[in-house]
Amino acid sequence: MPDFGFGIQDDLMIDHDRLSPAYEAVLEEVPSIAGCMSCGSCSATCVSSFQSGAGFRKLIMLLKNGSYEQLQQALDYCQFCGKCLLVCPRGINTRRAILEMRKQFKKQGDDMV
Amino acid sequence: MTWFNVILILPFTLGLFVLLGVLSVKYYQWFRALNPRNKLRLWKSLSRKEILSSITEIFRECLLHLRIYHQKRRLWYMHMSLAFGWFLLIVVGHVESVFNTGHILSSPWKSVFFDYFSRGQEATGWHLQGFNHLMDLILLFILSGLFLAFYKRINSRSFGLKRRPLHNPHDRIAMLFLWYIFPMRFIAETLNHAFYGGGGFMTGSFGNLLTLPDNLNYLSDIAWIGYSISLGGFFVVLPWSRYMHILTEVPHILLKNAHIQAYQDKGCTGFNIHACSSCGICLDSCQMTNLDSCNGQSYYFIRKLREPSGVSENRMMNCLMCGRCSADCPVQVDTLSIRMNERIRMNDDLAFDYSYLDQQGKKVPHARIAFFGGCMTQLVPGVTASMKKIFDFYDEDYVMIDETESICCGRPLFLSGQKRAYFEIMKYTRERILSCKPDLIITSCPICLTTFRNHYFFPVPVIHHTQYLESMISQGLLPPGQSDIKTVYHDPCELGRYLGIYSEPRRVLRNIVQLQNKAYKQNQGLCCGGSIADLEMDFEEKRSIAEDAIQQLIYPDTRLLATACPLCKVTFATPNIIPVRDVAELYAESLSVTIPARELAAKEALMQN
Repeated sequence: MPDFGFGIQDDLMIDHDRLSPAYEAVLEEVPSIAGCMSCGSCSATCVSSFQSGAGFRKLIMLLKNGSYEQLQQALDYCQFCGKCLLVCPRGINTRRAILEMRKQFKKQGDDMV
Repeated sequence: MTWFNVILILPFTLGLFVLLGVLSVKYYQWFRALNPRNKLRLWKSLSRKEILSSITEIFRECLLHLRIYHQKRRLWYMHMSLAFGWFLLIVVGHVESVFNTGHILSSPWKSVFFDYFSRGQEATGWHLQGFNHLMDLILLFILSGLFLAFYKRINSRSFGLKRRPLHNPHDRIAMLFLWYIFPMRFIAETLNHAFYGGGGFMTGSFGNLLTLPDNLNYLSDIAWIGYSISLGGFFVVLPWSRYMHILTEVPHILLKNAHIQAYQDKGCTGFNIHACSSCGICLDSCQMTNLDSCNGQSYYFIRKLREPSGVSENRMMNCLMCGRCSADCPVQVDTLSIRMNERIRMNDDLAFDYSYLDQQGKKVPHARIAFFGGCMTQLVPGVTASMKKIFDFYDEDYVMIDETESICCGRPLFLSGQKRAYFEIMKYTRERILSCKPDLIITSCPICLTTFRNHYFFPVPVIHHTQYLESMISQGLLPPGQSDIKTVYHDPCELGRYLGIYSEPRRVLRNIVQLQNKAYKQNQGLCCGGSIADLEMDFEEKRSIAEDAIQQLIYPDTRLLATACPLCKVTFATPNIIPVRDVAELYAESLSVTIPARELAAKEALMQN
């Protein structure tokens, strides 16, 4: 790999060829999450991100790189209000995706963490 | 009794016994599922007065189907002729056999196959001949309904149904048996009278027209056996088909009149879902019906609940919960509560953590009016700004609870089935709102208002902002600057159907714009499509529903669409067909002066003096 002059933080790295199994599972149920371009509209409007720092954009990032522990904590903060759904420029069904993520954790529990 | 008689009555009798057996088992199971308190309540409700009103309703709705009459006349005739006609056929048939035999109690097959057992006997006296004609008239009545039922399968639009309900295999088999019963009876009676004489104006005349050799009289016997088989077959498949509603509507009405509903006892779901006749009226009132990709309509949802496989998550979550189906249901099945119970059963155990809300611990300063915009109002800042302007104008002592740090009322969590999480968030929101010790709580979001009124139990009144504005107008505090913009008002589902607030927003709008839909019909409001209850529809589908609703609402010369819900405003703005404004925004614009009303009044009084 060529040296670009800066390092990569492993836990923030997203390998698009090897996305986490949880992401694949959620993608199957909610295909629209593939359209997320991390614009941050959702985080800007999120009710809980103001207090907890977690928005939908962050959830998708954590889901993609498999940071399940952080993801689970961020997921628990969601108030499910649906503001992210209304501001999303890509029309992603965010609430369904969050529900699906919560379900994935319920289903797989400790195996994933 | 000859061996042939035994063969004749066997299918019918067996079917009847199977039906009674299965029915007792099922009813016993459903009754056991009821909450013990509600069992007692049901028992107490069986007093003479209430029983009488229940019997009246059973007669009106199970037999005459009067609620369908008020909606779709042709569909009503079809349902009524089959239900009431069959009831009359049984009752009059029994009375006929009583007159003939002189015994009040007799075996059921004696009256069902009365014409077979009395073949060859001359009908003596006017009353016995009258019975023949009466029975023919009733059979004709039923056959006319059956013809309509058959025609409905070909052309459901002529019955006022946009989409024909698609039945599953169980229902088709049961329907086939049902469709055979009455033509078989007609054929059996006609052949009976052809060989043995007698009969009324229809079967008797048709019998006389047929000239068949006597050695073919076994044809009549075969037709009677066919009648018996179709009756028995129908009885056997009935408990597993939609025709279960014929009998289950009776306990459903008794439960309903004892105020035992699905929202407080999910045990009555068994009775409720089997009382649904799958008439398809709800399918017609559902706004998702025009979209092919949507399959969560109450019609299909309830039917799937009856099946052993149950409802898929997709179907369960694909519903706007606008309440149109429930409002139009002729059986009054509480589809919304049943769906809510299923959602809670599925999603209640999901994890959540709202402890961060507690850490804030900020007290809101004391004020007389607490204004709670809710999440959706934050997306339409114009409403908040307008309300501030209005409050300032009336010199109110108010505080905006969630202007900077918003907090959810919890209804989206509740609607998704996460009830535990909902009650957790409710605790924090309630505390936050009450921390300013208000005398009055005003919200601009009907979704929040529904939640506040249903579960929050605030010690002070909670009203919608349109109600506040209306109270200002009725106090004569507004100098109304009425514009001539032709406006149509849209009733948000939560405000209209859920809370019954129809007239207040209209009264406000009548004073500030040219309102085109001053009259309204309760429960007829259209959903904007953006409902937070739906988790399956994508952006395009929601927009399509919004477009459809706007087209139905507006007139060719309408210039503005007014609504009283921030979510409806956002959703209706998406198709970009017509400008959409909130009632508060229109009101704030109509205030021509900026100084508070009290100062204005004082100045006016000074000038008059």
